Amino acid sequence: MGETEDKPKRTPRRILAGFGSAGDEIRTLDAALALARALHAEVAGHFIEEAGLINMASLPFTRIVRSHGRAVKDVGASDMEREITEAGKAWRRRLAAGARRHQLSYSFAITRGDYCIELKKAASPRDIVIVNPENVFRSRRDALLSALDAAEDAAGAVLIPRRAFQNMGPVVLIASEGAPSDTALQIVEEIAKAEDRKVVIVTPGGTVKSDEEGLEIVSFNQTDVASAMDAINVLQPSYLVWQQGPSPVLNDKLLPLLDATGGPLLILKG
Amino acid sequence: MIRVSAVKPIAVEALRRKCDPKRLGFQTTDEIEPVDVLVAQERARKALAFGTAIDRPGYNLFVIGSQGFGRHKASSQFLQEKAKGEQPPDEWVYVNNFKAKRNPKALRLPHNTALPFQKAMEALIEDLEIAIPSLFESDDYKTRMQVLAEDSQHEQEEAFEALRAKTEAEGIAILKTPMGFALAPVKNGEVIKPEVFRALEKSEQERIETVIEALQKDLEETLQKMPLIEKERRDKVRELNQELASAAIGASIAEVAASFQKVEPILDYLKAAEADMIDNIGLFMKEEQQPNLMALMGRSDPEQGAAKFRRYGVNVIVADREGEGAPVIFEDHPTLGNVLGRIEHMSQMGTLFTDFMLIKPGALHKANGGYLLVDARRLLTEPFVWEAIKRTLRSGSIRIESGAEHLGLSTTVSLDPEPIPLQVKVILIGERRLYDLLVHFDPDFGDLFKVEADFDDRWERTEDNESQTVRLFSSIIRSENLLPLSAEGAALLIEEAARDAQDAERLSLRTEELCDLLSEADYWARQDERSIVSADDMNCAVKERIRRKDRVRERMYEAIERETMLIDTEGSMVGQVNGLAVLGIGGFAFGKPSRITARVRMGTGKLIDIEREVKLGGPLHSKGVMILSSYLNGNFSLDQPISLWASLVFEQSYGGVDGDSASSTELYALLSALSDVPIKQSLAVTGSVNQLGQVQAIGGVNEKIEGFFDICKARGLTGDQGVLIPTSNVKHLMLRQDVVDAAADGQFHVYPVSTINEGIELLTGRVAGERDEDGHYPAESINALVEEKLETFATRRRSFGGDGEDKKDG
Repeated sequence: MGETEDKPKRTPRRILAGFGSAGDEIRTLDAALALARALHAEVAGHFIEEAGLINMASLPFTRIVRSHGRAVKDVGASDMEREITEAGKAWRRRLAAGARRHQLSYSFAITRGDYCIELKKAASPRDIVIVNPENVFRSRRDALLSALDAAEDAAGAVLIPRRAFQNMGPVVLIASEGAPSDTALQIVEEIAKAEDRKVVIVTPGGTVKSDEEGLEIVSFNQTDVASAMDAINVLQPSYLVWQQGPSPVLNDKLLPLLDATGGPLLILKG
Repeated sequence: MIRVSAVKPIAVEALRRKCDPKRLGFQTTDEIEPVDVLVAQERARKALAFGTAIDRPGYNLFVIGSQGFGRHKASSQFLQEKAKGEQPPDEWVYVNNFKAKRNPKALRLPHNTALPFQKAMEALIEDLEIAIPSLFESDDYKTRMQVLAEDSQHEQEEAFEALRAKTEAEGIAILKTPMGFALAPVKNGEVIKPEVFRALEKSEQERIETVIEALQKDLEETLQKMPLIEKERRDKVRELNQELASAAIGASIAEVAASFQKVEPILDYLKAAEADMIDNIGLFMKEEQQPNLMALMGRSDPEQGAAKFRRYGVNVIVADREGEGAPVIFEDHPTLGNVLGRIEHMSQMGTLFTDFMLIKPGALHKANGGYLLVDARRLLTEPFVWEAIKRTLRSGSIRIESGAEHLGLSTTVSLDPEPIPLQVKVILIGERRLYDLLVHFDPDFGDLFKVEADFDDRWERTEDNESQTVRLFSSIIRSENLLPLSAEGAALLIEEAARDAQDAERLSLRTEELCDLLSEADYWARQDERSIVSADDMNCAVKERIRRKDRVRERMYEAIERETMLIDTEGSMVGQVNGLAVLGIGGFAFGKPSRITARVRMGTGKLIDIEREVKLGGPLHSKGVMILSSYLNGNFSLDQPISLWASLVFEQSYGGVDGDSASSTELYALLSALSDVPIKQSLAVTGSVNQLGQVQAIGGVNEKIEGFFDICKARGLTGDQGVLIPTSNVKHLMLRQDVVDAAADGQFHVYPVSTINEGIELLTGRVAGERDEDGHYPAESINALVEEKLETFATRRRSFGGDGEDKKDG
């Protein structure tokens, strides 16, 4: 897809990366930097000091079980405060180093509260929000939905996958209910160019405006979401861009796509 | 009683035995066949042949000979020739011992195998470095890896989700914190705040605590499972990797093995390497560049990739020798490391590191299966080497040792490589004194160096040997690329060889010294743009060499000429004789005339050697002086005690005096003093004397004569001047040509003297005198005057103290 005069000008964008207190956010950071680089965007780190964790540490019986399950430790609110503060500083440092390495402009903010609420407060319509559902203390499905809520006011959201496995496949754009939008196409094009990948568009119909020859388009039936998922499984996309449609039911059905790909799932508003 | 001595000057032709160039039978040395450098060293040659041929332990060799006799070159050439016809020895490499890294394995390989093996291993690693990662980048492999990862993740998630469901049913949430996991009561998806919890009924609080306590156990169990699941996944991944890799590695290893089918050590090593590669397949995988300390410091580490495959390297210790046959190695700098090999260390980020690839061979490795030549003095002055060589020869294997370890200085982890079996002949080259010291003080020496090859320093000057010597030098001329020598030049070289031997009937074998002379003559010939070294060039070389070295001599002669040092060359003096000494300075010897004086008076028969009294005289000089007493006692006043006090001194001698070559001179001075008959100062004397009055040979006769000649010549030759030498030294005469020429003109004379009587007659012009039948010396003879003086002393002494002994001299 080459650039044409008809295409919308690239709008200034910001990648808002939500860092939680839960621990390992390295994939959040990687995804934010990769996307900012591909889209030539500024990266804004936002660390949320999870209030729930401090509340929990204030309870008299709270104990921490280390991740290997062998050491159990009593903690107090001050211990938790200190750990969370240190985590915030560490992610600020890492984001700064990554941004310098890739010559990106960056900013970093720290707030206290609920992960999703704080992220939602920080997001603006020009943002693509990087959300790590691990920071949401609910069932996985609820976590995904909450994460999407966090990006409600943004241009889109990237959901960090559970696995770090890197696929080598194309950038796949799934337009769940119609033709892909210009914005979605532009984003896909830029990611594909930055990552040196092919683009595959999975759509239930509609016309794709493109000058690009050989663009692969996979059609699927809206009532048969499984066939779209099969197609995605076969493609093993390195990046899955999902343009949400108006139908909450279909959106809900497609949510498990997050599990179908090893790469980040970028959800764009329809 | 005046008498002209019967002793005649030595004939001119006996002063320097000439070599006739015509007899040599060539125009230049280019026309003659060179000979082996050992031509004049038959004894040494046989010893070398024997020592190198006998295949028994301890039959190593010690080549005995002085510096400059070409011991190194001759031994080396002999060994090179012998080694040419011998089988090239096996080659040795060190490889990694995969089971014990600190003990690298030594592989013995047939000739011309080590380097191909090294290259084959390098090629193998290069191939695998490309082949294995591509194998692991295949879709099939990725799919299988993904399945394993998903299975593992699924298992972990299932375990966790089950726990989560259980906790949620109890109104409890599992929270992930920076420190780990925790359980907390939740309400409406949010953790209950502390104040809310405190507001709960006591029973409710207790219930929550009890539930959380129970669930915490479940959480611990669940989390404990995670590492096990992960380990299981890793095991499966390893199995998968090994399964995939073994096929690729096996095929490549088989290819290498096919090239070395009959070389068992290589085949065994390849088996071990294959197993290790499969176990460590991760080495071949392309890893994402991990930021390391080097990177953080802004430095690249290009060796990092190659370094990880060092474990499969082949360290060639001995291979690809130049030339054919067995090796002949000369170790010029025999340090412990240079002889036994060493283990080097590399500095990596401030720490010292070593491995089998840093094992460096020593001279013993290189000479294994052949011959090792070492200079004994250098070897013995290097710390630890002598004991190490003995240990190695006794054990028959090379074990690399470090000097630092001996001293306990090394604190880094090092290696203990497998010793390499040793079969070598060690040839030590040293001087006799060193050999004698080793024989006497090192009990092991005799067991380990059973053969001595003794290099002679001279050989007989026959016509045949003269020709052989010229041929020997012609081979040196060719090997050193010198200009050919003319027959006249060669004749002069022969004469110089005789002069170097200090014997007209012998030729010196100090080849290095003579070779230097040839090189210098070559230089002068080239300066004059000649293509042949002539007699003039040889003469020029000799002259220039002396000129370079004779500054001290010149100053000394200058002192004599300016009469700072008193030496008379004309007139006569009582009790004063010109003696001759030889000084050697920096390899240059010259004669130095010295005035020797004697004073006598009545005494108790004591002969004072002033040199000894002031400790300037050595034991040999003292011996010579004591012989004089014996001579006097045996020849004069036989029926009464000698009542003489006499003193002898080397005038203006401020250094030490040793040797007995001046004893005859001192006796002449004494006899002159006792007889009151003056001695001609135009003559100088050398020669030792025994108590019977026979004059005996001394050393340095040529230099002594030349020394006095130079002084006389500087003052003007009178025709009366000359030197008395022992008759037994006549055969040693190889005088400078200018001395010979002066003698031929009757300007200078060399007299052979056999007895003191002959000498004193020459020096005084008076009859010495022999006892007649009545036991009396002829009146007015020297001996009669001496005896008369001694009797006078005895009579006067008796008049002083009867028969009693004087308590005090003088």
